[in-house]
Amino acid sequence: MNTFLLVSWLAVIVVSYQAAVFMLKKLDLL
Amino acid sequence: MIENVDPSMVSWARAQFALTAMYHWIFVPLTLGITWIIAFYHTIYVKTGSEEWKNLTKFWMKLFGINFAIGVATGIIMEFEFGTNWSNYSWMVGDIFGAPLAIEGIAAFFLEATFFAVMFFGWNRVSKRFHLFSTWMVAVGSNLSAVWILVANAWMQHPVGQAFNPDTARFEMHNFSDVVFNPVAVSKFTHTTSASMLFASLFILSISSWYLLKGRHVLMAKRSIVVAAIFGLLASGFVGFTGDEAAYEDAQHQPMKLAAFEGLYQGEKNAGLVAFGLINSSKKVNDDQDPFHFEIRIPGILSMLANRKFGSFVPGINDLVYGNEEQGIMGAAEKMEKGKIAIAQLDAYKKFKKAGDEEGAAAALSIFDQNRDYLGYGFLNTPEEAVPPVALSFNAFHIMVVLGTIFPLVFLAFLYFSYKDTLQEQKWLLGGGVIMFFLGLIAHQAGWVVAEVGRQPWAIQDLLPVTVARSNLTAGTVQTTFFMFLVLFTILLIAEVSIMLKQISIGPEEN
Repeated sequence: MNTFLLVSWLAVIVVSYQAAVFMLKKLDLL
Repeated sequence: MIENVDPSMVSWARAQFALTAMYHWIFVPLTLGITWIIAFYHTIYVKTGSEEWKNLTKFWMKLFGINFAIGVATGIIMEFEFGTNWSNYSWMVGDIFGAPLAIEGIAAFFLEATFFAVMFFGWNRVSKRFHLFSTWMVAVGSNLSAVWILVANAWMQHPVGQAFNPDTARFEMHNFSDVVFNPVAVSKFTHTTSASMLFASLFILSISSWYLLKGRHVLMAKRSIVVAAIFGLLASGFVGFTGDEAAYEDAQHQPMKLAAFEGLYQGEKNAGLVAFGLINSSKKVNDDQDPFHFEIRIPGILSMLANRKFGSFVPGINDLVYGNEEQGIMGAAEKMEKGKIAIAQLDAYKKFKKAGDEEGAAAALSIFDQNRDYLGYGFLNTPEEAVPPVALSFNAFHIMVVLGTIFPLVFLAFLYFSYKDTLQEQKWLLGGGVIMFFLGLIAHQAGWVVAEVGRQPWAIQDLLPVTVARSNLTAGTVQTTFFMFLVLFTILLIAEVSIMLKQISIGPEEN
């Protein structure tokens, strides 16, 4: 469970950045 | 020893620590979360080379810098309080508790502070890539600091990897890895830092909403909101997931805390979770008053939350205080007897040792070893002392959960209207967005109350009550420093808010 929690935590950061860039482009804000 | 404790001194020492921690906890979650968002903005700037993104990054960096300085000041005072007000605690567990705090200071904080300078003053002085690397390292460093602080805190909640040395009357570390990878520590770290990501996202959402309402810095505000809302939305989901894990860990290692924050007096199978309730704050553990004036329960969910199994038994406060033979639960009353045996045998062991009677010492130590898991209970005067403040724990927990449920909906609404390109027209949403930061602050403080009030009366779960952990000071001494800190922290808070409001009012540099 420890490993799963830590990997998921890291994934929140990485996926958030990717999703934010995708959304900014979609909205013509980037 | 325990008869001589001045209870008001303990109360004032607790109040002082709570005061310091609550002020500290205004600034720190913002630091932990906003560093990631600033790293996102900075990365976009380096990738695009756009001056607008540079100005946006510098603006949020400036607000972070103001906040960071005061977070450090309150954090240092908190560490000193272990020595001033909780010196017995520091003496008894310093070998274990001191290690993560030292690592935090030496490794994580220095890492954070070093790159902090490069991040702030590195514009046009170091290469763009190294500058960006520094920004990311500030985020990594501040979250690494949180790792070690939460490892120390988790050890107080679930003291693993230790052994009690009867010759020195101190707890010593026997397994560093067990302390670091304590499941409570991992659950605390992921829950606390993801909640901080959420909080920082709300901070950006609030300020950006205000700009949109005023029609100022519109493009910057829209860009800031999109990044913060996505980060906040994903962090919200993860906060819920890790919160479930934290509740499970509580059920396994601190069942009294779980029973308190659910207001569960009588344990039951297929226990329900209180979705909404007005708790009866005058209810005592040994009276027959109804625990609630009114409550709505969702059947079976508490059993699932506590044991990952529908229909399972969740012990209530009465079971944990008076025992439940049918469920094999030992009550605090029986634990107190064992704890008193442990204390008496420890005393006998020392006397035998002093007299050179090795055989007697070995016999005393053997009995002590059989009872040492209940050592802390030996210092309690009544079994009811093992119960934390129930109403406060319950209310704090439910405020945190309700707010934690609202936040993802707010992020979704902001993303939806951003997508529709009508965000600026949604005055009601932007007005609500401005106050979201304050609701986030309340949720964060409530979470801290759940974690720390819920573990009372223990400084270290089952081993050391706060009444024994304290320093030998008078109440008056602690009162004096309490009010000094209250004034000092309030001045610092006013200073921070004033500087921040001024910077927000000025806004980012325009091209």
